[in-house]
Amino acid sequence: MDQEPVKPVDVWMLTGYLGAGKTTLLNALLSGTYFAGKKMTLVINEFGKMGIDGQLVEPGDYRKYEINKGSIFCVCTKTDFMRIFQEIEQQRPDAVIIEATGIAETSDIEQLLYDSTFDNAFEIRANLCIVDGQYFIQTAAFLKAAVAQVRWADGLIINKKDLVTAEGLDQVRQVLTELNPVAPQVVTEFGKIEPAFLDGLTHRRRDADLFERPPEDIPSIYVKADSIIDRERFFITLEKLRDNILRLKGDVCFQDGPAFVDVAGGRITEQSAKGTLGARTAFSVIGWKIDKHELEKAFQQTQFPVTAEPKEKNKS
Amino acid sequence: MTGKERIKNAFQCKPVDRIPWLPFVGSHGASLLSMSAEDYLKSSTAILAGAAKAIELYRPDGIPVVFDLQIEAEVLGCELKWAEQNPPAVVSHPLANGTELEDLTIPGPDQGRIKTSLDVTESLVKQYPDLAIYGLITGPFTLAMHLLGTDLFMRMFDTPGYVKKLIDYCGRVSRAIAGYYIEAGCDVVALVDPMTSQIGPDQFNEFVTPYATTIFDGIREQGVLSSFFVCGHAQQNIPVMCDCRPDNVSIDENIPLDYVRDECLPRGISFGGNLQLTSVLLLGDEVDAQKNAIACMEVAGEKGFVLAPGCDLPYATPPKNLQAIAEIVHDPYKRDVARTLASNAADEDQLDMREYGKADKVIVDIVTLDSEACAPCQYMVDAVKKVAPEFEGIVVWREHKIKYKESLVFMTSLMVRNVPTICIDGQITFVSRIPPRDELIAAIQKRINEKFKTRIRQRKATLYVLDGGNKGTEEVKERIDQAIRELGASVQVEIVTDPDIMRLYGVVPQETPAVVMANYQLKSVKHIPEVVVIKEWIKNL
Repeated sequence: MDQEPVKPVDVWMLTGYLGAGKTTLLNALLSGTYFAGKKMTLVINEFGKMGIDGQLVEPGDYRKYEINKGSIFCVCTKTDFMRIFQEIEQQRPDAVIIEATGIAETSDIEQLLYDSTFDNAFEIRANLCIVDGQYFIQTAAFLKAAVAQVRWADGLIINKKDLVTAEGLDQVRQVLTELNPVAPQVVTEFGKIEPAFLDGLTHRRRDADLFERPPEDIPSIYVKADSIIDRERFFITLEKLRDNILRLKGDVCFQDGPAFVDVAGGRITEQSAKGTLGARTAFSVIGWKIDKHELEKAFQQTQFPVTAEPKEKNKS
Repeated sequence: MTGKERIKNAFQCKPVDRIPWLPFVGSHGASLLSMSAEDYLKSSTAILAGAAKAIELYRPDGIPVVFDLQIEAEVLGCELKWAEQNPPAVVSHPLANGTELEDLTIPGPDQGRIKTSLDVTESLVKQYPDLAIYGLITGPFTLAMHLLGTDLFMRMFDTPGYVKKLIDYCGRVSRAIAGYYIEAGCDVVALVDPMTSQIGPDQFNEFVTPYATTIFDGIREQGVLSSFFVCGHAQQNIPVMCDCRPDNVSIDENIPLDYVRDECLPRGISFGGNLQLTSVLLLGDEVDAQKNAIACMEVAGEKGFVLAPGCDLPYATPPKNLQAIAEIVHDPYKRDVARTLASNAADEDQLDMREYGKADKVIVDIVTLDSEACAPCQYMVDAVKKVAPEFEGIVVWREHKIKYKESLVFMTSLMVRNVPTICIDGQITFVSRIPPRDELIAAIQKRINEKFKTRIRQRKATLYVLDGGNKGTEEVKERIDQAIRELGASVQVEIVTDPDIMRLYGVVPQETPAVVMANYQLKSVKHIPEVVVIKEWIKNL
């Protein structure tokens, strides 16, 4: 008699940059009702965890594997990953949760799980990407995996809403929607999500090429100059590029004195210059849907052509 | 040409007598000595013994001293978590835990495992003067990550000036370690900076290029060759890596080799890679390993290329897989065979050969590359050709040249993996070995005997006595029964009285009594035989 086909083991993948709250989310999931009573296996592939936030997965009734090697580097971890999943294939738990590294490529993990070695033993139930509401924009501009993880997500969990303004949150949501229009979003604190959100997720397999670099949509520039910046032109530029600047931060040496300017969530603040960046003017900008060179040009035009000594400025 | 000369020539895009081969033996050396990676990576004696074992087994053109990107980090205060089968992991980052960048100094050659590595280097240089000895140093971006943790990415926006200062410091560490390796006698210094795969070319230009370029220029000034190793999805950065002016760029399976070839060679930079570590070298078999190596060599071409795994070899990589690669690297004939196999791969077209070899005659198949072009194949074919006539038509032989697709299908269907191979009635009998005449005759005779016994056991027959009503039918029947009895044979006897059936046998009733004998042989059960198999049956009719 033919044997009934064995049901694949459900795999939940948690991605997100280090510090976004993956471990908090994992603990919340394990202590919540959704996975209660299920035979669970965890695969923790975070690195540097101990040193960074000291946060650990709480002890519980599950089998846990850690892939923690100096070679967080790509294919080297693949070997451990394959070996661990070969073991899990034999144990057949009800579900596996993978906590991936902040720099993991979701597509790599998918590819490994669907490797012919496993003969369809696993099925990804959903890729959950946890996004740090406070710092996502910064990491997205520099770390390609941060963006790739969002693009490959089936559900986006925007964490730390308590640490970000309403405008900042709107901006993050807008960027996330542009990057991944189909993944449902939920905003949360301390990784708390309702089981209904998990129930509503559907995994979509993608065959698209891997995302190889930070997207053109989110360019970053670093402006370092010893010339004086025209205050009026600088703020006119900020106003003109209001929809094209996600973040700006750093010292700006105006004709009336240096200042530390911070633009976040559309809000501009100005304080005393920090003077730690090694030049009169040194600031970073993360753009949005603007060409990098256009962004550079816009700020170049705020500089006076000749160097003049700035006036002393009252500390704000 | 020695291995060292070969690698040096390849690095400089000069002609080589064959593609050089460089297995990245790191913690894999520990498995060769049946010890843990931790014990291995802490002991200069063990690393030297592991490297020696790898050199003996894999016959490389060069060898890395040690493959561990945590050596500098450990000396600079990062805590490590050790593992049985992997290099250690960095688990604490001093700059994230209160240490100031200004407090960090440039490590000296006698500190920590830097000394261990330099001791091994000196011994390897003395013991293996013909091999290129690679000193591996941690790249500045990866070292910065070890020291600061992943805050590095956040601070590229918040405090880019600090990040640059940090990477500048790490670059000075890299230059110092490179200098120690050069002084110890290394032929190649490889800057391994895998974390750069996480950033794009703009960030690379800003945070890596100035420091890496200085390192490579420094190595060149000291008269030593350099390589830039990266792993992971770093395709976007290959052009900017080349801009740093290394002599070689080495990559893993995540980046297409042809892309790297086309970026590197026009700039006079050599390249290396990208054997698949897990799916092929660790989990595959010798054939997979050879196919992968052939694919790399075919794509790369002979100019400016070093065949190597994409990264540190997994601890438990089966040595036979690496030995199989060494075989095709060293032996042009074996390389040709593997190349032919790789180019005609036809696994999906396998034939069902369960019934093969059940014909009356004994079939000797010789699987070759081509007996007209390959000496071992020719000798094997000649051996069979000379012996076959002695069996007076009972033995049929055929050559299958695997340069033809149908022959390759035949070969894979019979599970033949080496060339040349002799199969007798579908059974692999002589592999890559020309059998002496007597041995070949004995093997064929053994098969004839087996077949004879089987046939006697399997053969069924019926004797039809055609009875048209004439006299003599009963007597014929009695004599047949007597003969069967005396022989002890398994033969049925049937009386046929239907004139129409008699006519089918070509007999009219007036010609009876007549006897027709029918032999039955069970040829296949519950499956559909291949045409090639049916043909063999029919030939025996």
